[in-house]
Amino acid sequence: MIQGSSKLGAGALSQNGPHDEFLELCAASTSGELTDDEKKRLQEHLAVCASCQEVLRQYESIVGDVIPAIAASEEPEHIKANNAAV
Amino acid sequence: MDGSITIRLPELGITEKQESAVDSHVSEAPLSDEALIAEVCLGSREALAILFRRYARLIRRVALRVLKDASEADDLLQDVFLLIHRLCRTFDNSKASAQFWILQMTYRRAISRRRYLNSRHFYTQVELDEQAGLVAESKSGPLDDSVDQILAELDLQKLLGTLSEDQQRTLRLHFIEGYTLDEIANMLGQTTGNIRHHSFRGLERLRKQIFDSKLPGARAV
Repeated sequence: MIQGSSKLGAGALSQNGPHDEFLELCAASTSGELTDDEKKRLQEHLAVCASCQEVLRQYESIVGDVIPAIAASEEPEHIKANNAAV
Repeated sequence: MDGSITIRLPELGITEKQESAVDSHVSEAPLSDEALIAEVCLGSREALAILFRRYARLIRRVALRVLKDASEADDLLQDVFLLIHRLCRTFDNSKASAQFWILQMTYRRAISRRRYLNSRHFYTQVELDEQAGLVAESKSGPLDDSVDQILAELDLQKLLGTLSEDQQRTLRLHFIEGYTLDEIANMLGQTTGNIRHHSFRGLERLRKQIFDSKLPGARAV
């Protein structure tokens, strides 16, 4: 989540950065689309990697805060089309 | 997460239990959602029950994602169905689909509830637990009011517009409309692996834009 950045500290990402191979697993975990094996691998990695913990919190914020805000603010398709035509 | 969902709307005379096997919000036939809402306006409890069977799991999933708390999600689910019953006359099929109307009502209600819970420090309870020496797992929820302020500063539609069409469509179908990656793959005629990749690339692009910050400090927007 957005505010979660401050909780773990900005340095969590800047020192070593997240691990590319786990980025996709972090993203997929936000929607429960991981296999049991992937889940286990990710959990083991998160236990020792602050950078990837931070990335996971960021993905969770996008899914739990940003995308819902987008959905709540959207206009129906036909209104969008009318606005675009003006 | 949710093996079954029970809805109790005593003031509407409805008590329904939905088993987890019933997982589609679009499979009920033959009445359309729009026709069902018209029936609800005429006082049909059965129409409301059918809408519940179609949408309860999706609404609860959205509520849980926003509110991060199972009992809050259950309460919101019931609130939304009370709202559908109460506001059905305001639904205008010429302006939006029933699905859009129901989902947007859900998102708005969930965000409003989250703001209220934030104001009551619901999500900071975890910090109190830590102070008490307990090992408490974070709810990963908004920890203070500033998340809403940050969101208000973002141009959300512009942000979404930076994604490819496939990424936008995948994120919308998956996270807003509640389809699984397999279902999206079938709808779009692509492999599930492809769809998962679109989802990842879309989320990653949003993450980088929001968190790889140009703003000072940890509040990386």
